[in-house]
Amino acid sequence: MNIWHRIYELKVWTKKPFCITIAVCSLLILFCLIKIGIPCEVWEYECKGGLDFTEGSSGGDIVVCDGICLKPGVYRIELAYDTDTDLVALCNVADGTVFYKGLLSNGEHMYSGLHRTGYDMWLYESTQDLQVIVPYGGEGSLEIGNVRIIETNQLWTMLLTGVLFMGIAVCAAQIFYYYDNHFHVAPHKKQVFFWVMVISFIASIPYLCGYTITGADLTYHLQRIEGVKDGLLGGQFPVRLEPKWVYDHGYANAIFYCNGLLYLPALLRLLGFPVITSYNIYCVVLTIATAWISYYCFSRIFHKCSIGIICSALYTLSVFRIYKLIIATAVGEGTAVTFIPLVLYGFYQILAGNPEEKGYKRSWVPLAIGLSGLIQSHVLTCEITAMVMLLFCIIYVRKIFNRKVFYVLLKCAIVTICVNLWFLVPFLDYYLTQDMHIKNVSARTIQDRGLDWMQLPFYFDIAPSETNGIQDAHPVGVGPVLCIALGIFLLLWFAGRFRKSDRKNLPVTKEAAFTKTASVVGLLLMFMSLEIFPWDRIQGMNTVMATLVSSLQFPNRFLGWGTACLVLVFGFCAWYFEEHGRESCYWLLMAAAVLGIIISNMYILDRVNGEQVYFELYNEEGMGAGYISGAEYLIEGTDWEKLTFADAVPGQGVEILEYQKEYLRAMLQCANEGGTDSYVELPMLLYKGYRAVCVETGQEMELCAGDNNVIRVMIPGGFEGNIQVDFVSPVYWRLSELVSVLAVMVLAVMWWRYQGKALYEKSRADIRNPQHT
Amino acid sequence: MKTKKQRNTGTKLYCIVYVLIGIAVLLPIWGNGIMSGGIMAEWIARVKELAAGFQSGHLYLFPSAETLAAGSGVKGMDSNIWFFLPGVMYWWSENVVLTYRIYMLVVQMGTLGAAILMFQRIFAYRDTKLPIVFGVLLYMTCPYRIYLSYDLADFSQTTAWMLLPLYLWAVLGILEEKGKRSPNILIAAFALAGIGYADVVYFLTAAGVTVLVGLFGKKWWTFAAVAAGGGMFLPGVYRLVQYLFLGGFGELGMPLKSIMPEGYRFGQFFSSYAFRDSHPGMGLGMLMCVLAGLWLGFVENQRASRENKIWMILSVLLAVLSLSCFPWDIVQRLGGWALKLVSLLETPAVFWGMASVCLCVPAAGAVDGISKHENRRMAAMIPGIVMIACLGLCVYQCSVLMCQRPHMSL
Repeated sequence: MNIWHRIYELKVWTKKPFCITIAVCSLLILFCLIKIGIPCEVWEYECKGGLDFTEGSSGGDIVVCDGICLKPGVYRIELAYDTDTDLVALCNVADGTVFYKGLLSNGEHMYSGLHRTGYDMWLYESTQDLQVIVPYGGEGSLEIGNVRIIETNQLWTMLLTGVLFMGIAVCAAQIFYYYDNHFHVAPHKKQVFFWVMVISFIASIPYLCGYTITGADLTYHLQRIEGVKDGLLGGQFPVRLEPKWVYDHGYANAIFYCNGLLYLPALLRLLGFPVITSYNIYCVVLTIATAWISYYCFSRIFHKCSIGIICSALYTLSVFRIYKLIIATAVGEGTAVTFIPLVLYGFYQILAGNPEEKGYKRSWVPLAIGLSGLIQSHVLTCEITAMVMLLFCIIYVRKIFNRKVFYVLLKCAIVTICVNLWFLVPFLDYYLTQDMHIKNVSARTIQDRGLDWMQLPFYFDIAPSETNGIQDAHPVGVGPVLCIALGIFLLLWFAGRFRKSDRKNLPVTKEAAFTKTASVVGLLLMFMSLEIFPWDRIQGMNTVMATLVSSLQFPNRFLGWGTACLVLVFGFCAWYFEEHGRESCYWLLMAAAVLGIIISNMYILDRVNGEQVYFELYNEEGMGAGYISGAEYLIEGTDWEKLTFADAVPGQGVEILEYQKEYLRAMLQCANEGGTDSYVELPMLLYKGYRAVCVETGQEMELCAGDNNVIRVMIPGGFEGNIQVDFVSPVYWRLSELVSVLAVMVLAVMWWRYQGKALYEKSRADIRNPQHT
Repeated sequence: MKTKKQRNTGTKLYCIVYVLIGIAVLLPIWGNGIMSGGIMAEWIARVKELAAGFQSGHLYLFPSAETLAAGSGVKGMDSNIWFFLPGVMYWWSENVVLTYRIYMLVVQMGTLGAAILMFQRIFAYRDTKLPIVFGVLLYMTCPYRIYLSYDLADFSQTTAWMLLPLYLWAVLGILEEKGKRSPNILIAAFALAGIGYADVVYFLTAAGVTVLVGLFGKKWWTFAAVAAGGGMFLPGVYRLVQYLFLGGFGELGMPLKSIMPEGYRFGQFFSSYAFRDSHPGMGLGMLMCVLAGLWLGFVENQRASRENKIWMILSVLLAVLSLSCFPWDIVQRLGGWALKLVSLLETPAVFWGMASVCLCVPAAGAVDGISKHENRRMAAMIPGIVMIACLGLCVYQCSVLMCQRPHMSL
């Protein structure tokens, strides 16, 4: 009997608490749906008179309008204005009558190139005295117009999402309760669930505080999430160019930095959740996934739940992960950390497994999933993974040329490529055919960013800056526990404990052989993260190496894989001691791990959460739209400091009669009264894929790079009409997306059939052997 | 059945633990000065004012506005009664450091004694003293208590923490009808009044919770204890009524404010080593105990006792009150008195302290449960780790303060 039949047998719908939960949830869902169905309203407010300020006039907090009455909800505030400065004045809302955090908004800065704000505010209590204010210090001129407040139904979509999630969680908990009472869930399963969730919870604590710890990359990754949201709102799927990034010019981040996993927080944003709430939820989900994936992989390798749990704790709470995901807020790399154990487990299955075993031909699955996860999250980690794979392949070179092994690896490669083709094709297309800035950063050296070797085993402190040497350095390392485990392993290895002539006379196991490789790779990766590793020399070898090394940015990136390898080494040591009846050693090692986690990993987590700077961001406009980190994905030669919100700029003889821009689409009505060809420059960066069409004739217009690589639409002499400029994915991109969809569907069908077959075989085995059941 | 020798060994071990607890919680007073920070200046001003009063033949039951100004300015409702001893000490010795040391010694040892009394009564039915020791350990090393004692240096609240266990001991006696009723009522009344003279917020909360428990449990004698305690605290009650409903507000000059921003955020409950916004978490030891309790319930299917459930519910309720999302601003709109009363709280974080007190009971029970687990290694290891975590974290918290806080120039 499978689990669904058992749950059916419980007849939970006859239990009163379950029925009450369902009834309450249904009522709440109905309430939300009704609220969502009610049409939204729009209010116009005239600003108080005399709100025109010239340079030098004293402004202070200008109340544009007050006494605004609103019900709880999520609203969009639009204020018409004209100013000649950027980022000086700010439009915000204020209300002293609602409770603390009853009104959430960070407002929006004003720009000379924009004439209207458009930001969200969350109001959780009815008010009769909402104010729209503009703090203005007298710098530049400012003319304030009317206010529009647009109601949205996002409060109710948020509530609906919350009710659905909570309802499912409560129902699942109730079903588990009845199931456990009736069928008695095995204690070891409950134990695993308990500990993995405890690990996830502890690692998630910084995300449960209602704020976000700020690191160097946070704004960049929040912009990525907003980019996906805006791209979806602009009609792109999958999102290729983030339309509002770089002051509405559009940025090709998604082409180079896959955002496949950011659709979750973007979806939450679309449902109305504030920026940091969506981000925190995403990070919690990521943490839970990391804990479960690492548990799954390490428990599968060592066939022991207890080792899986401790390895999961060491990995999920590892200093590298805390450093990347929380201290530096390098979300992409932090996301990639989630999938590294799957790749490691995939290597183990393929390279250490017996090709003659029945399940061997399916051993490509974890590796393919892991690699796909890495591609979807962080390209640089893929680069490092490729290097690690190469190392493993060199060490296992004889095995690779076994026909079955080669076939499995080939299958893995084909599946990974097919599943990720939707990202790889545009990526390669842009990388190979466009002159992007990323291709021209080979001069950046990284060796001076390497670690001091003393940083590897110690990690008790945090500091605001990353420097060479151990003083004032961030806690980047692998920590004492993993170093101790590596030491023990090397000691056992050199003492000859893994030979066939071991005094216990146990055969050399595949675990031992694979861990030897992992320990060597781990050591090498740790060495590569140090400042003594000759990165500068490697970079100087040729242009390919220069580009590759420069793109790595930080040698500490190697510690992600290094940590995974050393966790495997730790797991092996524990497994070895247990298998060889060295109980005291096993318990000592476990105690060291627990102690290390408590006094070191949790210490860092706590200190970061308690002491690092944080911020609370609700609407995306609050963080601006200009930060692009190293500007790697701009077209070479673009001066990003000159880019700001702007209007369309006509060339000589051209008159713009009407201009509208929304996301990646611009509509233009213009006339070229002169006899010669001229142009109109649009505030959009000229990436491959843009197309301009004359609306009346359907004729394609010529596009070329304008000033600072913005789109320049060529207007023939005597032209008068409407032009639509739009971003359209090339056909071969669309084909690659189709291939990916088909690949995923085929895999899903295969998985479904495999599950059915496994179930069928299990039920037949149960019939044959009822006692076992 | 344990032999007499085994019992003696056990008692000696427990005594050693109490001594260790005493050493850990008294660590900061062995420095050759008084740590600055918090509202220490207000306390010194109060003690000096009292000493000056003694010299001139005056008794200041409540501090003057000038004295309050030395601190946060919101302690006007807390009397000086518990500072009489340091006042006398200072009058006699004119040595603030000595006064501080003796006062802290008395308060911390008083808290230890009261906690032992309370947990002995709570776990009287258990066959071992282990839960008593762990209850005391968790109570004494509670990060919030240590924060109040040395970080914030709020000795009114620290004194309230000394009297709370005594009050709970007496109230439990009334509820469970242990011992003679009248001494229990009398001690409860004295303790409640003492809490009131120390910190009126604790008085109100303790009285409120007692009334609720009395109502639900139909134990009417608890009302007598509360009424008697209120009677003994009459000067404080009068001052409170004056502040809330009559014209006393203007005279006291205490600020009116929204307290919601001072509340805890959910994740802050679980911090151990570091905290922000004056919000210490539950600490490692308590976290382990909570996990042990959850483990017993979820994996071992052990049901919590009725008493433990009550303590847990109280703890959760108080923790909810301490959250920054609890709508205190709406409560303040009930009227002028509500506005003043909520402002008097100063911060919802006090409720987290009280929640920690309640949580000590089920947490100690969980350690007891784990110590009886069939896996002997786990049964021995977990209580040991909890003990090390509690003491270690307490020493860490005190040491960090001692390293970071310069001594006051006196």
